[in-house]
Amino acid sequence: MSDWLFKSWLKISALTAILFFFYHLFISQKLEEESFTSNKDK
Amino acid sequence: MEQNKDILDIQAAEANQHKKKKFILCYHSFSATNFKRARTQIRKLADAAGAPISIAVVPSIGAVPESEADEFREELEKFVQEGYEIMLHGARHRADLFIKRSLQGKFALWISNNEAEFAGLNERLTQTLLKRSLALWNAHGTEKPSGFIPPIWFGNKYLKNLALDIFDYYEDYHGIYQKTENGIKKTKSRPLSFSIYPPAMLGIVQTYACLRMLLPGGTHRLVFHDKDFRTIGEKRILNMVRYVSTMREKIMYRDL
Repeated sequence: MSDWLFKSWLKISALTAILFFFYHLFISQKLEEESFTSNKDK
Repeated sequence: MEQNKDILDIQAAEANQHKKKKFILCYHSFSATNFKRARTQIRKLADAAGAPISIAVVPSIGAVPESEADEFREELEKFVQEGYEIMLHGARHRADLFIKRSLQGKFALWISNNEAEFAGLNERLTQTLLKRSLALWNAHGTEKPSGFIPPIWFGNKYLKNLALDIFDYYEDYHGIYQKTENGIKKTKSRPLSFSIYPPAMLGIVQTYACLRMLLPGGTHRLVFHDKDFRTIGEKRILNMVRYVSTMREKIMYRDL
């Protein structure tokens, strides 16, 4: 039971870290984008 | 033509209603020492958000010349006239190191670089400092602020009730509190602030703030300081405000 719980926790943590990493890449790009600023300004 | 305009208005109102998630955009530590830079930064933030924002003001004038203090007062008045919301942000935003504090308070001073001026004070000292803060504010002759935000969100067990006796809103790290007929109403909210983090961590903290805004729950507070414009940079800050505004509706404390 505890082994299953530990493995599930490990999988969820790894998946969260991967998702967060991709979101981090997306946000870094978005916040640096010149077009995002100028499009919104228009 | 007129009908088309009506349809567009209705669609815009509906779109806004669907944006159920809300956030507060607040500029912290607007003071007599930084107001010349800060007024431009605040107006840029408001432009990016599309509406006036909340401003947390440190009322102490410090050692600035009287002419600059007058200019600071004029600027405050102008913000109020333009619909910005004013919150009181401590008295000096700097702790008096010679008054008695609890162990917790001393720890708060240590991690906040002595900025948490209300941390660990007893009831009498809290009351005195709160009154001093209000007196410093009243000296500017501007109308009463909407609420009170303790510096670094560190208060003590007496501050919330004492502040709510005077102001409509009070906030700490966990939420925003307002006085209602049935007692104190708490709105779940996290401050998403960047000024205390080392530069190496700022990228991750910005991602976390955007993710927090993307996910449902809470009326979070997006907080910027003068320092952030140098560390994060204006372009990233304004893009962040625009990005968050696409996901959540910007409100003020008084809209809670």
